[in-house]
Amino acid sequence: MPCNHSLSPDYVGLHCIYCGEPVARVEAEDGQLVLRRDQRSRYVAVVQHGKQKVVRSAQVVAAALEIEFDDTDRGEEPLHQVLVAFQDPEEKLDLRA
Amino acid sequence: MAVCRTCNLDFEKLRVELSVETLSRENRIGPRGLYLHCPACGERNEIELKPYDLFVRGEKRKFYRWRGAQTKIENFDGKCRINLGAMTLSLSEKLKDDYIAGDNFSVEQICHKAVPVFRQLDGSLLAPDLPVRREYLDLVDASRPAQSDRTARGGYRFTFHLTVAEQPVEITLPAVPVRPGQTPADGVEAFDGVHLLLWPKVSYRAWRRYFLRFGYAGATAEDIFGESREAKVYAFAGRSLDENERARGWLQLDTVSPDRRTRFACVESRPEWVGVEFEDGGRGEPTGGGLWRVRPAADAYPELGETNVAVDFGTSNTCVAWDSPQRPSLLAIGSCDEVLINGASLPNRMEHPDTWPPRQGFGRSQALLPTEILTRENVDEYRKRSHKVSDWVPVLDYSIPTGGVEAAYNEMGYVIPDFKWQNMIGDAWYKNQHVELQKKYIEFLLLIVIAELVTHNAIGPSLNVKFSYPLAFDREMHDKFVSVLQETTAAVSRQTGVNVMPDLEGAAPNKFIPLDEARAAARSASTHSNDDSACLYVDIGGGSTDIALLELRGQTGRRDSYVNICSFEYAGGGLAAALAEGGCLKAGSDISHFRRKIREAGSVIELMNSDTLFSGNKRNAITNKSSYFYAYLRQFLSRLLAAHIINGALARNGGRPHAEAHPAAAAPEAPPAPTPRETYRVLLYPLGNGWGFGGFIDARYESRVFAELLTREANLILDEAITRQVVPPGVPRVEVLSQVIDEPKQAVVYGLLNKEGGESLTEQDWSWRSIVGWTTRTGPTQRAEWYRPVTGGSASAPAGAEPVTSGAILECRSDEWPAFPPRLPTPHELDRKNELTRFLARCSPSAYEQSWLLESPFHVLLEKLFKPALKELI
Repeated sequence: MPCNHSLSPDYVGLHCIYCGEPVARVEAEDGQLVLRRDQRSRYVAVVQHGKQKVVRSAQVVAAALEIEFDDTDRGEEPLHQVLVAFQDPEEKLDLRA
Repeated sequence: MAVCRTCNLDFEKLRVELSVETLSRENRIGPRGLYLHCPACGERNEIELKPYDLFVRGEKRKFYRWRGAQTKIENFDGKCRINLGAMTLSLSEKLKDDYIAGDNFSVEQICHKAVPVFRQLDGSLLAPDLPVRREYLDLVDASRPAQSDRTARGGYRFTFHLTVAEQPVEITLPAVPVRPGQTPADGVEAFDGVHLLLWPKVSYRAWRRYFLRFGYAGATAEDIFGESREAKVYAFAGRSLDENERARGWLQLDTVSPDRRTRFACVESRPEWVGVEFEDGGRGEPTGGGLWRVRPAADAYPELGETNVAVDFGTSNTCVAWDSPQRPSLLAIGSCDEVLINGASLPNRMEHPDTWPPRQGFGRSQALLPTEILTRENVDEYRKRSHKVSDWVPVLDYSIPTGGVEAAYNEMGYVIPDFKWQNMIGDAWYKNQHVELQKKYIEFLLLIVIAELVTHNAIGPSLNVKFSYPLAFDREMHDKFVSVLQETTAAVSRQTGVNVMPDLEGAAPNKFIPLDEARAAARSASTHSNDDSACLYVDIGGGSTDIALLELRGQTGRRDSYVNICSFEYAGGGLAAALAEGGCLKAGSDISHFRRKIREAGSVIELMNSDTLFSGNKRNAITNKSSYFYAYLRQFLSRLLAAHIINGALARNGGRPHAEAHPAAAAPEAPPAPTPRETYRVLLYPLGNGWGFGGFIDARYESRVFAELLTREANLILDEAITRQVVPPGVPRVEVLSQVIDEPKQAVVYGLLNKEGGESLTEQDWSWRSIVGWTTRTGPTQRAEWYRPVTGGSASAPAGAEPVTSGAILECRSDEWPAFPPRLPTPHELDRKNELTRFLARCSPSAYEQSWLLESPFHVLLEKLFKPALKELI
């Protein structure tokens, strides 16, 4: 059930910080990750070793985000790192090696 | 520092603005920090504020920031913001005071400006454990050690930990000036003569009821309790024994002594802290203060075997014994104080009633306590305020008088005695509350007893308590007493955590029957040989005399058997009252003072020789009154013994006198040779403190004189019985030998603890048995002879006796035998108002089925004629 807490437009959490209700989701779109909340979207590009990778799909599993790339590569990133990336003005997520 | 415990998200890295109002409204502000959900995984976390030098406290959970903290509270754009990394707490500036209590909080704000220091009796200085104000105690981390030391400049440096700060805090404070504006001669600011006591000294965590005392004894009380200064003392403890009310708080010691130098409190959990605060100049704000930590009680009661105590709840004195490992012992009463501040001993001279628990018992063994209630205020004050006895609290309202002190005030206005017997209480308001007085007394007594057992390491999780009761109690009094004991033991169980159980003495299940005092005393004193025929136990107490006549039958192969057990309200208290009311005391001495002196005196002669108690020209009167007292009692006993012999002889004649069964033959030509008579040896055991007055007459009164007189008087009666042919000439003569006991008061309690006493005795189907005592006319020609038994629970006339009609008017005629000895005023000489017939009415059967006397007429004579007459007889 959507919570009625007032969260700022640039809040990047998947859950409301006050009540824990889900308020946003992470998906893949146009080769990037998108954080959607209400009508707003924020994008980050996924980069590895300095090169952008094309994201085919993204799925939250436990406390991590599992990512599938076009080149059949797979990656996994802790959710908290993903959220930090979404609030970073550089709009990129640097994958761990 | 603010990391999700599930997914390791660092809250500080999140750029998020949190509304303090929302957090508060949704109860997201806890005592240690904020309850936030992880934005990544949704899990609930507690974000502690301590690492940010912030904390919250109070019901409204207001924020405090320590002075010097790196975390700032910034105001701009109409908002207050607190940055926790990238995360921000924000609220409208207009609401700042609603949510932020202190932006620049410091340790100085939670501490007093100065600390009181007390000089102890050994010369050492005692500063508080903490200088913290009471209202901030919740900030102190008491689980971590605190330190204090005196600086070179005479201040006190404290180092302690707070629950809301990472690092320990330190503060140096001066001592509270003893005399503001004046420097002490030795340069040391310290209050002399102060004591702070906690009662009792126990280490068992189950114990709940405690008393506190803060007071002063010495010459400079004005330093502490003067007009310009007020000392207030508080204890952090529980206020209720109710299981649902276990909350602790600050309770003030607000019961104040008349001289305002001592304060008391009763609390229902062990105090954790005691706070002392000084207010100068009537400002209402402390000018100094501190907290003293009370050592926690951490122990459980040890798993000991059964502990047994016995209580002789006498009219004048109460005595307790316990079955110590070696043997039954009297329980001496001593101080059970835990001393927190030892600047003075308790005063020994009392200018006003001191209701602290007794610190010393009376008597040689210091094992006696007066059966009296000492009130803190004059007894009239409670009546004026309708402050009922049922609401009284020990120490705050009443106590039990203590030995080892001098009472320099009129005790009469503050002592309530004799509440064991409702009819002995003079004041009508208190007479109606005599049951409550008993409850209050026994409840406090048991608390004191258990505290004393703690000092002997003799208390476990349960305690059996045996009580005795006088046979003079009627059924109603007995049942009320049982109810009192059940209620008080239950109350003390709650107060101490010990399961205190009144002991069942061989009664039906769930029925508590205490043992009567006569049998209890008889159990403990029993040393005899085959030449002895009987034991006569005479326990003269304060309110009642209890008598047991035990016939020894061991040499015949049969069990010993009680022949008589009886009790009447003719005892030492009657003589003491007669001496007091009969003008034998010096001016300024009253009955309360007299009682105290009796208790404290090692011997009666010591009392007589004291020039502070008795009028110098009253020695004869004192001796004579005492003689009369014992003489009337002896008359009863001599008749009792004679009756025993006579009834034994009558039993062989079917209850008929010898003359009827064996009509006199023609007179012989020469007088017959005297029939040899056996000697019936009776061992007299004088028990109870009421025997002590015999010392006014003769130093060997109880050890020899009384027994010799009793022998003579009993045999005179038997001789007359032979002359009148009531019994044959060969009936035994009596010889009474006194068996003096060292501590007569202990006989009852030792008897109660004696588990073996009842096994060698025949059981009887009656609760008491006495004799008529004075031949009583029960009709125009009918008589109840003096030697006939009167038995509790028996409504039928004994064999050979004439039945008594229900409602019969009873009369004791002056011409009946046996007569009193010469010079001993007879009942008829004393009955100037001709009230005897009215007094005897209670002995007359009251129902159609009853055909015998319900009570002994001689008991009536003792209680209604002889006792009141002692005051006038000289």
